[in-house]
Amino acid sequence: MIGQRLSPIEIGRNMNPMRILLLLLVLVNFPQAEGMAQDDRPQVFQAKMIWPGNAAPIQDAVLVVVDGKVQAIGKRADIQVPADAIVHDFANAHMIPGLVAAQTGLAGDDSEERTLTPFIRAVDGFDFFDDYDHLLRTGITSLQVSPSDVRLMPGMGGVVRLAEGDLSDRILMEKESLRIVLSEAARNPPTIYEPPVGPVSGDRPLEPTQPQLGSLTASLAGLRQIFRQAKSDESFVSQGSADQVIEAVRQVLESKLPIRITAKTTPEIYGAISLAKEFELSIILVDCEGLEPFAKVFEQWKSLVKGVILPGPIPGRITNPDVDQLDDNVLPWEYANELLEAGIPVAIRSSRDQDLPELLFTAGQFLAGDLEQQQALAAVTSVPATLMGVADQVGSLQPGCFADFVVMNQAPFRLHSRVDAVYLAGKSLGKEPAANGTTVIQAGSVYLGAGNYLDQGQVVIKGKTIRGVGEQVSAPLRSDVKVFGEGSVVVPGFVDLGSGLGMGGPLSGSVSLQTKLGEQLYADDPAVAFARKNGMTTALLSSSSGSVSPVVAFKLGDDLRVIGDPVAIRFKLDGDIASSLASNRRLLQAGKAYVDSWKKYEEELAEFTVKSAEAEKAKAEAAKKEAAEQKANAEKEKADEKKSGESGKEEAKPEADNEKKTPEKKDEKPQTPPPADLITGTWEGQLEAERLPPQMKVIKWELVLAGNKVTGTVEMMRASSEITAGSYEASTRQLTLSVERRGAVSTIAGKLDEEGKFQGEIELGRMGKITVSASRTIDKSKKPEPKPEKESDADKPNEVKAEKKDLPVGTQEKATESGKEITNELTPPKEPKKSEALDPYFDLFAGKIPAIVESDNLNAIKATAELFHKEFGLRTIVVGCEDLVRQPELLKHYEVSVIAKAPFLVTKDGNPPVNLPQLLANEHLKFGFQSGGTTGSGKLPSAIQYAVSQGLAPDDAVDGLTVDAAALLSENATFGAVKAGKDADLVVLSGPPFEFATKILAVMIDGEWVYQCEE
Amino acid sequence: MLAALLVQPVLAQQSLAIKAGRIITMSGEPIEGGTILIRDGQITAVGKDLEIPVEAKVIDASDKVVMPGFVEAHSTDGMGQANETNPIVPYVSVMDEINPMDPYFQEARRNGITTVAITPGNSTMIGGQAAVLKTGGEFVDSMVLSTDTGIKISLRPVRGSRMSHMAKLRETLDDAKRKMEKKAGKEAKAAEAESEADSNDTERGAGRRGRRRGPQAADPAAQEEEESDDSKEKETKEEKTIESELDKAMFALLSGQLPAIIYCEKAMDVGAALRLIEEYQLKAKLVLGRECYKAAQQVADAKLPVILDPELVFWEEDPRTKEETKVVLPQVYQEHQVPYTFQVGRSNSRSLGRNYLWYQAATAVKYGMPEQQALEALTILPAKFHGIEGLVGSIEEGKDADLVILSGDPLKIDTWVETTIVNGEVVYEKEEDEQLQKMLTGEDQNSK
Repeated sequence: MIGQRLSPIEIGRNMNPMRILLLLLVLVNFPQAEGMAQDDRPQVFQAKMIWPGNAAPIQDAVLVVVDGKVQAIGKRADIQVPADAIVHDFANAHMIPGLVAAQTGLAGDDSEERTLTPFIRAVDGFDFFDDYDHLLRTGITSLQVSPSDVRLMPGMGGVVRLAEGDLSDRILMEKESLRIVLSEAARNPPTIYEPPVGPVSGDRPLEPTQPQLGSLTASLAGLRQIFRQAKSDESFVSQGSADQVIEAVRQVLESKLPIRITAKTTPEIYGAISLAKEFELSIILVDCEGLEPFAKVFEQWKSLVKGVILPGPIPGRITNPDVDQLDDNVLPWEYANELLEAGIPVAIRSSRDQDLPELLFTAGQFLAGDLEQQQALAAVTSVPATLMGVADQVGSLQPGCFADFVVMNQAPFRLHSRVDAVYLAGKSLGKEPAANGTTVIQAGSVYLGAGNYLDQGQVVIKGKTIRGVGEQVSAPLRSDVKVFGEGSVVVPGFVDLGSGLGMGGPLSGSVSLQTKLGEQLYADDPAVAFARKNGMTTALLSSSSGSVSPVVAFKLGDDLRVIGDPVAIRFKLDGDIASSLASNRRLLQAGKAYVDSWKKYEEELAEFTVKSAEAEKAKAEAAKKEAAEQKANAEKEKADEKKSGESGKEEAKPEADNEKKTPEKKDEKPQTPPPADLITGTWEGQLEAERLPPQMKVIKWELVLAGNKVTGTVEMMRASSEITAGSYEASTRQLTLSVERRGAVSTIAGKLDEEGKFQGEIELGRMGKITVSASRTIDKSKKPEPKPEKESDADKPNEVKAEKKDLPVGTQEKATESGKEITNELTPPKEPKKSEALDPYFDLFAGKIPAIVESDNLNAIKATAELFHKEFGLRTIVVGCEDLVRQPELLKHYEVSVIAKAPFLVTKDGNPPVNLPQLLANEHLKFGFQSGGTTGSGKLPSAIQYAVSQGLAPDDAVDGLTVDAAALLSENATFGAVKAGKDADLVVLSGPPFEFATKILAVMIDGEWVYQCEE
Repeated sequence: MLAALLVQPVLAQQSLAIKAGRIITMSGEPIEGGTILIRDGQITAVGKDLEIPVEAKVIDASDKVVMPGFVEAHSTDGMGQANETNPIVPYVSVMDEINPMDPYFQEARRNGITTVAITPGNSTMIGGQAAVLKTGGEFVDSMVLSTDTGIKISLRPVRGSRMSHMAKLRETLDDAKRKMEKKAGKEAKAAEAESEADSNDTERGAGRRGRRRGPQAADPAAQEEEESDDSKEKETKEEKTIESELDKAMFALLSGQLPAIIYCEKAMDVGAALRLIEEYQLKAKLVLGRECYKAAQQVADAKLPVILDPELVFWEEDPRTKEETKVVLPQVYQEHQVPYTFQVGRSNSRSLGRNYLWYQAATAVKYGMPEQQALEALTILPAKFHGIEGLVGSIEEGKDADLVILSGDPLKIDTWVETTIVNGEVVYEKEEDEQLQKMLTGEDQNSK
């Protein structure tokens, strides 16, 4: 889930949801407003709660910023806001100070080999001009930079701000503390050979090799000596690097800077404390793990230990401590609280630099150690700032500090707390862009269908699809969150089951069934914009004239995405029942006959394929036995065997698409005399260029030979193009194909070898000449009158026939046994005639699409039910059936659904109006609505509202407008419901559906907001 | 042979008169149809209708444009080796490395450059002392104009991190500072004579500006220290032994006698440089690498002389979005109102244009630098940067007769340098430039 859930209390007693929406919109628009606001006027930031970092959070707080610095902070009521101030209202958001990372290695790699270099300054290695957006976006605005981790006394740390202002504003402390590393990491220093490179000279003498301090005891002894010397010798001036170390340490002690000691284990901590005691040092302990023995003496640390920086565990990492260490595997926050109680400040750091963006999470984990939220926040803001001596500049929102703060969607350590914006010196860094195109809609309730509502629900949308619906839905943290007020309702997008949308006007002429209406939709139809503004997201379109018409369904998004073409077939059964019934029957019979002929053909074809495969097998076996047979012969058989195997596979699962498409192509094919055509068919091969990735090498040709002209398509390098000029010279076996590729003409030229394999070259731009090889995989050359789907099958009978003669008698018998037919009679079945106009009947009779029948009077309705449903077993929907009000129970015994056509209140014979949808609902008939209008489509919801006001249950009305409407069209409709996996077609209402006061707040189609109410 | 052709023998007491179509003086309005009179290598008069002395050799450039010779503010050419192995060598001087026969000088004259500040390279931490030279002459002695140009400091670490680099630099400076303070303390104790010497020091420091130096003054700081050492010698013998060449050079740097010429490779180095300058009270000039444009505001605030990277226009890729943006250095610095001058790139770079100083200026003009400012950046501005504006950089009475005669208006692609004059001597003539002719006709490409 994302974003905070707005409980009614949080929304505030006197704020209505719309106002919250408005405030959110204001928030989104901030960056632009900010750009203009860069004058000297004071800025005022209001939020639900401001956490100052060093004190308790302030409810309904306001922060006044002048000149990039905090001038005042307090409750809204207590603070005098300057009259000319620019006010930014973060509404329900929380504000916290910019985070301060207590220790980082961002000063870069330090390749120094000497283990004692107190004179090195980490700030020198910090690149102020690098891009620190990845840290800033997570709320870190200041950080400490430390010199190397792997040396005993690597140098001085510094404190910097990550952005905004010139260098003097950004270096908060150039020398913050002297670092000492007592932990394991620093115990393996290299031996130094002097001088490392170059000639020896007077000022560069050859010195003896220097072994460096390499154990804890040696380190402590060495440190003691350094501190002792540094403390004693005041007028110390001499030469050499050793003295330089002491001089540097002396300066640190003089300026009373703290010593920052990394001490993990108990002995290391003990060593650090003893050093501090002996030399009266002020120390900051870092990364302490072995604190247990000291728990009782924390009180005594007070004068020595300025603070402790505890390492957070690495977020999400699983470690495997040794079994015997399980007991004393102390969690980092174990002693945090005890330290605090003893009066020792505790800061929290990310143990690795790459985890810095998770600093808030790291600190949040310490709540498990009984830290309060405020303490955990202080541990990453004001405490580190205080330890480093920069508390007057950063780490809290007290007057005088930089106005570096973070706007969060809720309190900092709640799950799903998120950084919404980061301000440095009162300037916004700009809003974080939403990640991955994920949208989260949060509303008062979500309509789940069938009268069920989910209160305080969320809908997560990614791309075009709803990914989840629920109270708490998983979503990436940086989603685009849309919060709609309390009372708002998310319902599925509305479906108009019959409109004139998408044509720029009503579709009046008759349209034949093979017409693809979807290809003719007109996206700029203003009626579409009006319709979707009123919540319509899907519409059906068909011609109203003619006895039969295809029905197309499409989304009302900007591209008018077609989701079914046809999605149904519209019939008309009205007027003179007798003739109308007869003509409809004829239509259906013709359709059925067509469908059946193909069905039969398919069955026969399947049977034939099995048989021919068997015959092939038998033949192949025979061939194996005949060892004397030529090699070339054997290869050919192999190829044949492969072919039949392929086609067998194809036939095993015949698809409607296949049936339709493949025969079409065949019709175009010219009749060519069989003997010489080595070209026509499907060719596969490859480009032989090493530099090309494998998938780019593949080529595929669909070639047709006519005379010596070759036409067809060439698919190459992921692009398919029509052959512009092609020729085949039978005598020389020379094949030349020219195609247009990226605006230039490429020519493939080469010869066919004896086996019909093509070998040639192509000139490909920069890559020069490339060898092309290809061979025909599917032969479509011969044109036997009845053609099965795959041409290869057509060849087979002849081959089989020819070769059967050579087969030994035993094999032949075997083959004969296996099938009823004698091998000589093994011919493919005849393909029925193809008719595009009848193709939609495949789906109709398969039950994939319904028949929508316009019937006006009771007799017609009954006839429809009888004919379409009973007689032909079709999914049937009657439409325009206002006469049903007379006898609503008419359809009781039929599985027939109804589309109510506006107006829904029917006045018959001077009686008071009858509410048709309400009657249908009571009869438990599935129903949907249609407007039958163009621009009027947008009026459908208000027409339904009238029906609702006259007794139709609002939930039934919503179902009819959404989920039921979709179900009428298809069992597997991808739209019409707010449900994971469905298309993201949503309407957000300001209140319960069909209430008078309810308005449409926003409409989404396919995951895109197509309308948002501007108020 | 080429050298003999191009470097002409010094003729004493030569008098020269140039009749110019236009004189761009850089010290006032251009003069149309004026005359420049030259005697003993110096300009004696500039103006219209001047009487030409009878003995003067007359150069008729009445259809041409005469400008002050160009001043190149920073170059590591003209030397055998620009960088040292040893990282801290403030005591070395480019004077010992310059080769007057280096093709660089010939090329410079061909392109109208009459004065150049030659500095140690960008890869030595404290790289030694720079010098300003004329581009005409056979021996370094006769070419040198000033040797107190500065000590080159590079903030680019050759080995190791920037932290160590800076620490080492500070270590050296601190060390020198301590010694200097100690010395000052001892000197204060010593005698009144010391204070006298001190005041002499400052006098000399000021007087050095604009005064021509012979080669014996190659290391003025060292020399001075030597002088004072001489006086001290009688009192303390130890002092002499302690004060090394290194110390002397460092003292000169810390006392401001020698400016620091600081090379900043990255933007972050600008900040480091400014902090160093403040911490050690250095006099400084900045040589900025490409990326330093990001610190343009800091550079502007510092108000220091600035020499831009040779690559004035380049593309930079955003590390995250991989989006490429075009960076135009003159534009950036122009916006921040930083006065800047140029340096040229090495000949092996992709674009040949930036090997030429005038081309750099023309590029800047293309991207919005006012033409007048661009001409200044070629002449008087770099002269000011190096404190030699009293000698070169404009056509004025009393200044060195360093002139370029151009075939047309400056900063135009079809304008050629016709004649280059250094100290009143013609050191280059296009007509005599066989090499150029060959290059242009493409006859002899191997000879170069």
